[in-house]
Amino acid sequence: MTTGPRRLVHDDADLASMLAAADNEGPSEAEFERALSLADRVPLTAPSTIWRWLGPTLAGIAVMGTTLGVVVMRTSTSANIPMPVEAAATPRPPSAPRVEAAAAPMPPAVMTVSVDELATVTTTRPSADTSARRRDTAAPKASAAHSTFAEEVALVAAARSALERGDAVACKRTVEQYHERFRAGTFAQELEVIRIEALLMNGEGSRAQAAAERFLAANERSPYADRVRSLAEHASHR
Amino acid sequence: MEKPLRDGTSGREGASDSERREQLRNLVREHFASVWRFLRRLGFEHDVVDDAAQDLFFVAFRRIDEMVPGRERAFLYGAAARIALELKRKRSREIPDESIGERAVASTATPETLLDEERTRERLYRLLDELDERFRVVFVMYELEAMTMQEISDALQIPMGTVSSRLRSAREDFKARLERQRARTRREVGQ
Repeated sequence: MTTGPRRLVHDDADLASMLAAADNEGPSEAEFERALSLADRVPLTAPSTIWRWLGPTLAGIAVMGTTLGVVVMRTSTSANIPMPVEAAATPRPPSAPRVEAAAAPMPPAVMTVSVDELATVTTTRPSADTSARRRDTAAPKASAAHSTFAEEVALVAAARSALERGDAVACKRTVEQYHERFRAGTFAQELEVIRIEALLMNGEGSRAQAAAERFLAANERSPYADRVRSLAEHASHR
Repeated sequence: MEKPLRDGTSGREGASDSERREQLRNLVREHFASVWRFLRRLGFEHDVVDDAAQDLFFVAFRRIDEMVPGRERAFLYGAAARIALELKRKRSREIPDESIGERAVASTATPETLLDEERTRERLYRLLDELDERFRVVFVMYELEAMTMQEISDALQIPMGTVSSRLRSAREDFKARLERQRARTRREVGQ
């Protein structure tokens, strides 16, 4: 019993016309171009260093601009909603970070991303869209908050990119920029983990260990705790 | 079709950067519009869908190496379903029941004032809004997106049996509500 029943649209002309009307709706040309542009700009990471953000109790962030204002979702539930990574018969358990060998020069960043966490990726909103289909008007407040969050995401992405290309100095500078700009930023934990990694990369083992210990003291139940413990252990061997 | 390798990757890793960029662009060309429509059918307004779709593809781009070629839709739709669920869960904690729902139809709009096609779409969306969220997702995937039961199972990572039972419940509920809507219309027309 895998084929399923005959679809209702085949037997109900009314429903078929509703579906046809729904099919005639779609994203504006501007949104499509924005997604294509994103494809051209998103950093391409080597698979071995792909960051995957942890699932279960991730302080994940999904910010959706809405007409009611920005909704910031900080998911702290224990519900593990893994990304459907592939169509393999058994999905990979998302909550098990790979244990990195202590002999590795730098424990690769391994945090499984939860689909709960989605970041608005564009740093600039598209200019006035004259070719848009029917659009709801967005409150200015929502737009402002949305662009602020976009700035945060851009800084996180920049810090991560710097780390991945081995530029610890640029990474730390970007983290500092973030904290100056967003004192209570939604990505504070993520940036702190990145900063600890940058310290390690830069040979500042004792500072990295101290930062890791402070992080764990303040965020014992953070989804990044295991990762930070691993970094702290690594730092103690330097 | 490429098979997943033992380490769970899909074999894209050997591609050059320009080839990988083209893979990302193809993902947009092939799936952006349908994912956008899928999010609309899960009950969100244009602006929310615009942002959600961009966010979703951003994450998908970062995970492109993990997608099995030919299974991108399951990946994307599964992610979209989770986005929708979480967003609604969040809103249910923040927005009183009496407030407007996700679908912010203009307060002064009535079915009669909308264009025919819009009015037809709104009928569908209002019916879908009345379904239990778990059933709605499966219903939309099967009936409107024409996904197979296996694809739905993969996308939502639920057993086939669960897909089947939710679909059955959703179909019964939807048909009942559709019939009630038609009966109301007949009464109104008959007045």
